[in-house]
Amino acid sequence: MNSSVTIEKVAQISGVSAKTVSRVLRHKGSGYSESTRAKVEAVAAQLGYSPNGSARALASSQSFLIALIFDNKNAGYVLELQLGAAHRCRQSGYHLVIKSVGDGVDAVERVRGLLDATRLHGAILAPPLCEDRAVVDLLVSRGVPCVRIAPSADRPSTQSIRIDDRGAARAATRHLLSLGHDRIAFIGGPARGPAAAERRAGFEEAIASSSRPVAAIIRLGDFTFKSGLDHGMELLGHDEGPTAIFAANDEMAFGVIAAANQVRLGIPHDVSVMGFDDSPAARVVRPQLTTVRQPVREMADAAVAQLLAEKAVSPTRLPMEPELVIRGSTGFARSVP
Amino acid sequence: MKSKQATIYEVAAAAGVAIKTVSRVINDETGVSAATREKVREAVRQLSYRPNRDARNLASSRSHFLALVFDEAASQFVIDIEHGIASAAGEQRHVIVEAVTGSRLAVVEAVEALLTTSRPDCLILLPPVADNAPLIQRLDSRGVRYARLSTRLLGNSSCQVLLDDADAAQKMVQYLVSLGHREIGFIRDKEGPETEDLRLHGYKAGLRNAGISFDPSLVEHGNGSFASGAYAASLLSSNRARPTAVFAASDEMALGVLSFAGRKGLSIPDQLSVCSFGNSNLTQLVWPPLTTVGFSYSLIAQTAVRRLLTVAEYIGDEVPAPSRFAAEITPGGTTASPAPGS
Repeated sequence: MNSSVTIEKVAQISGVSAKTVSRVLRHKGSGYSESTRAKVEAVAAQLGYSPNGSARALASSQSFLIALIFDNKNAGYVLELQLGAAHRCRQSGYHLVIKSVGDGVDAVERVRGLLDATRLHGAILAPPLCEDRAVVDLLVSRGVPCVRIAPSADRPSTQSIRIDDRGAARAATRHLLSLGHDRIAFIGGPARGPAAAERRAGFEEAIASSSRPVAAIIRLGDFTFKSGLDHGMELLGHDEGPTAIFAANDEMAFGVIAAANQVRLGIPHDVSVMGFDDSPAARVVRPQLTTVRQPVREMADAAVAQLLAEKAVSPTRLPMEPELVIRGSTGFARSVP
Repeated sequence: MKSKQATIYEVAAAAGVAIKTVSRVINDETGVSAATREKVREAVRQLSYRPNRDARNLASSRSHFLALVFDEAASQFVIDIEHGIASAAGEQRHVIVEAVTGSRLAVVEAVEALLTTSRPDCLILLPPVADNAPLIQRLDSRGVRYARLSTRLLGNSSCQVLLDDADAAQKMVQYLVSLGHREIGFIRDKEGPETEDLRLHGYKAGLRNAGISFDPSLVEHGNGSFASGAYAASLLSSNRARPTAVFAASDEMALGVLSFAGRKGLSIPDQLSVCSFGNSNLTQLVWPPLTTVGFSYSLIAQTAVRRLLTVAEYIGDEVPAPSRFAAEITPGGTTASPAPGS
């Protein structure tokens, strides 16, 4: 076998994508024509390419490395992912390599650099990078098993770990409705993130199914403290403001709390605030934040477990339910005695 | 999927020895009896255990891995450290993270497993792992290259990065004094002997430099937590010296002080100035943001990595002096001059 022949070379000469080459040579399902199959096999045979060649060349050794690849800017979230993944790795005698690919620019090149220098047992893709087709395709074409955390949809040849963001947001909104709130604002996340869309959908579903008329106000933030503060100031800066604000993550909820403090509104007396994450800081702000506990650490732990499992885990959704954590930042709407 | 292969833990269990011993045998180190050596080799054969040699770049003896070792209870400053490491190490080197927990010896075992299995070129140790004396001793005896981030020196590493806690605390007191405060309460962040509390030392030194005599009744004990900060604030508020400023040795405790002040209707910073030692993201999650003193961890990590990589090519007996890092104050909205007549 000629180890200098890459899958990209085979793909280029065959006139198909690397992913197709991978699928053909691994006898994976359909998605390519008979003539494509014949051509790819002929080119591979001629060049002496075999899939996962580097792994075979090194068959006498094994990889104890699992990579966590991310572009997420929320430090608390990324740390939780690392702790969950590293914990399961350590328990199993494996080790965790981290790769931050910044804001997604050149993400493919940076992941390629990691793959060229190491042999991985598997890789975990954190959101929102897990939506990056090029990165996912690269991993698949290199034969690296891949688990995506909280992706918007399943993809062939990959596994995923998900929680029910929509159901959790619905439950959180219902909590606010049950407290008598009828002017409720939702500060969502950026449009790119799948979780943000699911949380917004859950909010809207709960509002739509309310038995009494409720005014819903939607704002889009970017998951940062600053965007929560800015939207909070705008929403609360006048008399007709909402009596409850549901922020799609804790950081933005902290911004809303800061805004309420600035305009001298009491929480929860004047306005209730709901977050999403249950980050460590949720217990340190005053009042403590009512939020949805997202089992981030457990999700990363489960992602490693999937990579270490003998066979692919089925179904790919694990039954990990987010949980509503009611603390001091939500209370009855003012008009309700 | 690949079939499940043996891990170093299984080898150690099968041979009935510690991970350290397995590691010594695999690395052909001394200090293992012939009988034990044979037992370990037998377990390695039985289990077909193979350390991860492919992790190395085959063209050289370097693995191009740096390993960052920290305690599982670490806070978000770890992410800043990782940014610093990545920017100094470049795209050619990759970072393994090892989050450890348990006793000091359990940590030694975990690091042994890491060294044997993944063969990183060098380690970067964060406190409290960096202060684990048995670990440092073991690394020195194995000749492993490592960097330590700590408030004090330990071991033979030529890459020691000192975080000057005492200087940081002293600076904060100096800052409060410059605003006009003279009665300054201090909340310690942990139990333990006062002689080892560098932040307390710094607080005292700051007072001394300003010609203010130290009043032990203005020092309260906390344990780093929010609740302990709130409790300590309640004790300080009933102190006859009536402090106009409270300096808490952790961010969480300072937030506890703010919460106590809020309950008592004290306006911040007009009636009470509050500040912290820490500079974590928590200080930015309140309004107004908390005045804090702390280190730039990203910068510190960059320095540590540059030194590690330089020392790799360094030949000779001369050990470079440790890098010392001074903290910086980030003024927030929780400190101001004391109200006249207060």
